[in-house]
Amino acid sequence: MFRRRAMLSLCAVAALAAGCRLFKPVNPNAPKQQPVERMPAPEPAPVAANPTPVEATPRAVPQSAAPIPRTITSLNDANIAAMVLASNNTDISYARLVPSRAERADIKEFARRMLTDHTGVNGMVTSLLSKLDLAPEDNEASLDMRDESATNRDLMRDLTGYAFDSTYIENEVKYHRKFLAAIDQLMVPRARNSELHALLKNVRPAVAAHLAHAEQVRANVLSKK
Amino acid sequence: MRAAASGTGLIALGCVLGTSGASTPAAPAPLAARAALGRVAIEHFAFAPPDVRVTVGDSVVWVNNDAFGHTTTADSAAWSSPELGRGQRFLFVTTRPGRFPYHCAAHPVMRGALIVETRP
Repeated sequence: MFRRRAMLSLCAVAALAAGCRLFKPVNPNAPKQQPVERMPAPEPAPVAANPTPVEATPRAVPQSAAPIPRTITSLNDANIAAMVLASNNTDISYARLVPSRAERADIKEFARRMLTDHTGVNGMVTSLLSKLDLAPEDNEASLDMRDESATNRDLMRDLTGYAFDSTYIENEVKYHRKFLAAIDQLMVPRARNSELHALLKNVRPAVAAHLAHAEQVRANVLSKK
Repeated sequence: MRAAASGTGLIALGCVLGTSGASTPAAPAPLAARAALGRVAIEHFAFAPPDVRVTVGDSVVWVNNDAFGHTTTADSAAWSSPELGRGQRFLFVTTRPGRFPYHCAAHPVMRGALIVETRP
């Protein structure tokens, strides 16, 4: 029974990773402002028979992890706003799956926090857009986020119990890592409006804290399966 | 809102203050006349400074400057504020020496320590 649940969970994690087509690993030697290039085939998720719990470092504020968004040549403030909204709505949609599927209290609590904080960020963004009289404009990146979100939701929708908990929290780690990389490497450097720039700088610590929190919860989930 | 702490004796008084900046608790705290005030800002998802050092009888006030809700919650459960919105404050009066690690219950990676020293 346990073995079956664990296998199901690992398969779901692998499938989630395969569904992530928006981002690619950092190439530190690559020059900036490269022409647009489609994503290569995604790297498979590490699937270990006995996953090692990840050590959490509560005080450390994580830096952007390896994956960065696909290079985008043209990105204006309206595109950035659309990307932030799409990112937040993505995590909100994941969190809404949790109450009826998760079994662990820490997963449920984490999801409640994601709902609260990401809804708050959306409120901040929409208030600013209203003030600036700016409408969000979808671009390829924000549309890809929505596609990816739908794919991942479909995968998680069929899971319950440990299979759901482990898949959800693994996805949260990946999601926040990508969001953080997008903020650092795309959104903050390209934002032209000073208030949008400041908003992104204020949101960044929240995303970093969410990533560290997700890594903590993931370590607990893996160590107590 | 006002919540008297019980159990450990560390906190004589804990209360949430509004955004007006008032810092006087509803009831006079012991040693208030000679007590100092330690201040901790909650901003950018961190307690600043992360460690605050006071003397027994001193007060400590946490002020949330973030747009996100945070708490100050002792690891030992000696105290826990409600979730503080932007501009809200939480005040404690200490009565016992020791080192008291604390965290934000909403974001457990946010950590700090209250260090209460004996009055010379």
